[in-house]
Amino acid sequence: MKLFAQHGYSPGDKIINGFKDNTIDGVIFSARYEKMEKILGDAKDINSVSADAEILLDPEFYTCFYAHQPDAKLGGLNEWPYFSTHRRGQLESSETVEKILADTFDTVVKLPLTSIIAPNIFIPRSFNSIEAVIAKNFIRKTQQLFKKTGDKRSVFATLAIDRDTLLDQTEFEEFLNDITALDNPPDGFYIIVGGGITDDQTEISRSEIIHADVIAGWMMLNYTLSINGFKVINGFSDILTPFLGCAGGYAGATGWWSNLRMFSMSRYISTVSGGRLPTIRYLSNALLNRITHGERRAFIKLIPEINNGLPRDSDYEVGEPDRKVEVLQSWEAISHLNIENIVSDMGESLQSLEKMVNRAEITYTNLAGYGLPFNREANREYMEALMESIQAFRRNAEI
Amino acid sequence: MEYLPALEQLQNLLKGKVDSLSYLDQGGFKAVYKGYVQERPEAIKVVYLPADIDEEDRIELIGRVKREIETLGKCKSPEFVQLGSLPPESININGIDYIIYSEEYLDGENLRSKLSENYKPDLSELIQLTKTLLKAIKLLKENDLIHRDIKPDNAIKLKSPKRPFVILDLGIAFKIHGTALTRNSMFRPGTLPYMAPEMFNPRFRENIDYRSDMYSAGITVYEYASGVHPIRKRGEDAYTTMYRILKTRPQPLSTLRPDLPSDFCKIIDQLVKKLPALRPASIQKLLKKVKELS
Repeated sequence: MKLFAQHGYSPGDKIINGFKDNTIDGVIFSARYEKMEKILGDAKDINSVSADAEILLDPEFYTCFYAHQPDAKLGGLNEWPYFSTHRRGQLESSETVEKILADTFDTVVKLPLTSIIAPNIFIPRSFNSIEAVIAKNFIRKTQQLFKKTGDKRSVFATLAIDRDTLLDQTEFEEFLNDITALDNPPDGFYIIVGGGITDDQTEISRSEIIHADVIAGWMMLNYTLSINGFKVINGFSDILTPFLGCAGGYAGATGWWSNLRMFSMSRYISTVSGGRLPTIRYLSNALLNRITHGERRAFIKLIPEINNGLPRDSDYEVGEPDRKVEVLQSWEAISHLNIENIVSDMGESLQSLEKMVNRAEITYTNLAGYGLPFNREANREYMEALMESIQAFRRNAEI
Repeated sequence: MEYLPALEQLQNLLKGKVDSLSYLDQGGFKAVYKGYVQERPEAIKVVYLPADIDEEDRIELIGRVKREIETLGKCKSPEFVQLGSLPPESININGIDYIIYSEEYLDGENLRSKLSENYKPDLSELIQLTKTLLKAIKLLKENDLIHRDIKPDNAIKLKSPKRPFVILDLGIAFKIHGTALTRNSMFRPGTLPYMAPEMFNPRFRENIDYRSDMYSAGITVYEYASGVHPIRKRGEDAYTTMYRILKTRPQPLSTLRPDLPSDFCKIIDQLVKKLPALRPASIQKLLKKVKELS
């Protein structure tokens, strides 16, 4: 399982340092924050530290319904020649879909990308919806339109969905049946699953993504697509990356802001929230969670395993580290979880995931035993959701 | 078959076209004879058209025969039985209507009778069978067709190493996007223990694709390899079998045939998954995998 940097606002030298650390294998540039003319230079810089880095661009076309809204926050998306505003009704026409695909490919094939991500819309509620029909049309036509460019790179169809779509098992399975038997399929899929943040917490462990059926569904997407020969790149997968890798995923991605660790369409709408930067955290593999510097210092005195024992730990030893270090530590932790858990035999990988979750559950219990009931209820729910997701995946995938 | 025509009467009727007619087998509305057309053996198929069925059922029955003949005409490949030299013709014997036509005569035995002999095929034979079934499904798919009745009874093991297996009986083959022959939406054509789970979906006509045949092929190979049907238990009623098709996971083939390579067993296990999306969709890639095992 490869790990990619999910690019976003204010990248600085984080991505280059991730490649230098050898903890990331690629980058998914955000069209919203990466200017077309800048990609060439950025790709050169990346290749100077990692010759075989995978470089992709998410065209973020799924925001096309938002573009006309006054409170839309689209960054530089409007500057990309392929990007345009659409109403749902317009996209019901195959000709429009073909034009969007062709325009996007015409633009992006000129860029130094290693593979191409095709545009698509976001499916907000159910696979039994007009949006799902439109999205399937984009997927069906992706390879056909890409071939017209004569480009030899791999093309990935985008599948951008809300977590709710994964909850209706019947509709979801019919959708899987449809996309796995296309006549002229893409080479792979770029999957992003959107889930809102339940409260002020910005951590994925507290988000709506953490639901057994949602995680199991996301794993199921990776499994069905991979056994059918597709490469699956998961955007915004953060701590769920090893789960998706065990299910057959090719790559996962995460970034430095909470909105790069988990996807939500609300990131494209202005909010009135304050501008305070989030607290810098440490991703503990033993807890499968991020903790503040203060929490880490207190916890490791009692339970040293909360420390990952990896090189980036040293950045946290002397005090709260610089913000730009935080994501490097996250990439290091997740890539280590990938290596630890994903093996060629899926049964073994799933057992390893179960052990990983069990270990985290025990660590939380031990913390509580020391009188440090760190978000006890929320973490119990988090652990339950992770464990149940593995069981639900086994059931649904008939393993 | 009800009202099986007497051999002598049939022979008289076919005088000059078919010689040395002998009875072979029967089932449903069909009887099969062996006869010689211009000194070459052919299988003479006689389809009974009952007089007591209503006009629409009669049209449906005739439609099935026509469709089988049309489909065989499209599937000219060694994996399928080929049409013979006798074109379809309506005949009447003792006031009873029949349709008669011929197919090539196959010198072999169907897998059902091999199973009844407790025959245990080796890997190379199982690979040949799997390849034949996959190639047949691929050809049908290219013609937008689904066989819908792949089972040991409809696969013949021939004596020729160049053509080890042949698939029969395209009578209920389904044309995707075509018009349904039956008006009864609850009717499920096929043979229950070999039907794919999605056939029980009320919207099966909209959703069915070639992966239903992949499932039936998987069940057929599994049963032929192990001597055990992976889903149905002997003596159980149809509702229990239906429940098992939808809910019971077959035991991995490797547990019944530990002598076979695990990669082969995994391929067959994957074909009998309940959800079509879990069955490998690319027949080409699957054929390549199977060939690599030989």
